Amino acid sequence: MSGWNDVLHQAGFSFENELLTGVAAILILFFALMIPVSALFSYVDRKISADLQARVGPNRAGPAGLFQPLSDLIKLLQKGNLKSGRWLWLVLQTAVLFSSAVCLPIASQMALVDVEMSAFLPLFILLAYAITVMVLGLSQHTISGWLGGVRVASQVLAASFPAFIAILSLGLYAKTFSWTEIVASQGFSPLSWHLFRDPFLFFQFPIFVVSGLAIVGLSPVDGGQSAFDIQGGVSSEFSGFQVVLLRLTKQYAFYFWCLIATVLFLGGWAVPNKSEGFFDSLGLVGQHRAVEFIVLHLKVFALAIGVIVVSRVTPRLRSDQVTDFVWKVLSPMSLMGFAGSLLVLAWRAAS
Amino acid sequence: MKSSFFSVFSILGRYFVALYKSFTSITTAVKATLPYLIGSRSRDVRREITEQYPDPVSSRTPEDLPARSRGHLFNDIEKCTGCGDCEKVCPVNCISIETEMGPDPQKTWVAVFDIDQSRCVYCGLCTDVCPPQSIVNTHQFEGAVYQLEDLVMSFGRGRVTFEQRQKWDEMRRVSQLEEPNL
Repeated sequence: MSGWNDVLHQAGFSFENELLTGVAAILILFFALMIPVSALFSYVDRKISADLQARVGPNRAGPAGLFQPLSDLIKLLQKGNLKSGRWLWLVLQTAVLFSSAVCLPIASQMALVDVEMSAFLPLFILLAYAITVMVLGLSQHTISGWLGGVRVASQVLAASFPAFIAILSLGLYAKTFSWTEIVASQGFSPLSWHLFRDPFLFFQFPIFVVSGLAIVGLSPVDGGQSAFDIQGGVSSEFSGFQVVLLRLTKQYAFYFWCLIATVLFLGGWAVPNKSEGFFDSLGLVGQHRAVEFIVLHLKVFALAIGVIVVSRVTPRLRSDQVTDFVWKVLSPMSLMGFAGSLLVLAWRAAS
Repeated sequence: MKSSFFSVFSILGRYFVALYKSFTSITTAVKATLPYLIGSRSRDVRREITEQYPDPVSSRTPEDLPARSRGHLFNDIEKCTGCGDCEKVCPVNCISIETEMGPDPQKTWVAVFDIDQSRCVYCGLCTDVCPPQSIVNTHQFEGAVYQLEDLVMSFGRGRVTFEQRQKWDEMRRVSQLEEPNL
């Protein structure tokens, strides 16, 4: 929080009126965080997939199709209306995703809350997000929605286990789960990242990323939301505003997961040690965090593009294949990796 | 299936072999597809193959189409004999023909030759069976109109009035008298 305090005091903003601050915070979170992030990620997803498949992708709306998410938003908002039974889903979804902004580790000391167990917060936030998707499915009037909701729930429960074990095995090296400590135990050079600390951690990283994709509901492990026999599961009754919100939150959750994976395994916002002194000598404290932000997001985008490339070449799994895969492959492998990391640490300590 | 102590190892072995195979299949797929993303743009096989119709630069024109492309139909009424083979062979009955005896007894007057392009499936059967090869497929593919009736293309010479028919009958009678061998 101290980082935000510095930035906001430099900008001349104060926290006197709590109601105004609260409303402003919600609006800012929605319009400055969730919408731009999900618009950018959906655009990047479509353009990269198109390039990979020798297509062009969006290129009509705006220069190089940059305004395509905006035009999709405007078009879809004109199409449907919110049904009365969905208000519970809306409230839950908004609450869950706003809570993700609390622990967003975008630069040093910029996370609003940084406690000893910070690394587990995103996992629980995404579990809650997936529960809202299940609620959405069960709130529909068709059996497609119910089946979709139940399948999503089974997938998510399955996939949260390997992610949990991966974070646990990370904690063996960082000794704690707070963001600052996790990034401090890594460094700028790739050799000091958690990814390369241990051959077992090297395999925990794809396990973590793939289980995250299964929780968020992205291909190729989006069995519950892509099944043709139930016409799309939770989104089978949708139109208009609800489609917008589901797509928006899915892309935002994807960004969130890539951010967490980068901070945990790929060095986070760590910059070379000399650069801190360079910026402080010039008297610019905020700019140091801007550099960290940029370094972090370059890695996040590289990871997101890698995930998109691998998703586009892998066949989509059925819902039961996803749960099979997660329970029979990801979970044992993550447990073996955890045991292996323990053995490696014990061996290093003994010698 | 007889299970023994050693079958556990074969099951485990198959599990890890399957894992390895899935990993290698994904890496093969990524290796095959990644050059499309990061390769050079000049090589034809990896450029975008999308045709951004109706962009004039990147779309095809009728001249670009292959030689035997079947576009809209055209009937050369000078060559047409009015035999009606195309009307009979058309699977969707999109050709309507009405013929009469014309001024020249050796040539049929094709009064009405209508092709309903909204029904035509561009199979090319009519062009195959036409004896004088008067009906052909052109390379035109743009035919959007605002009214459905505008899609009917008329190649006929027009219906003949009663007076004109009488005049032609008279002309034929006169020419037969002059040349009684015909």
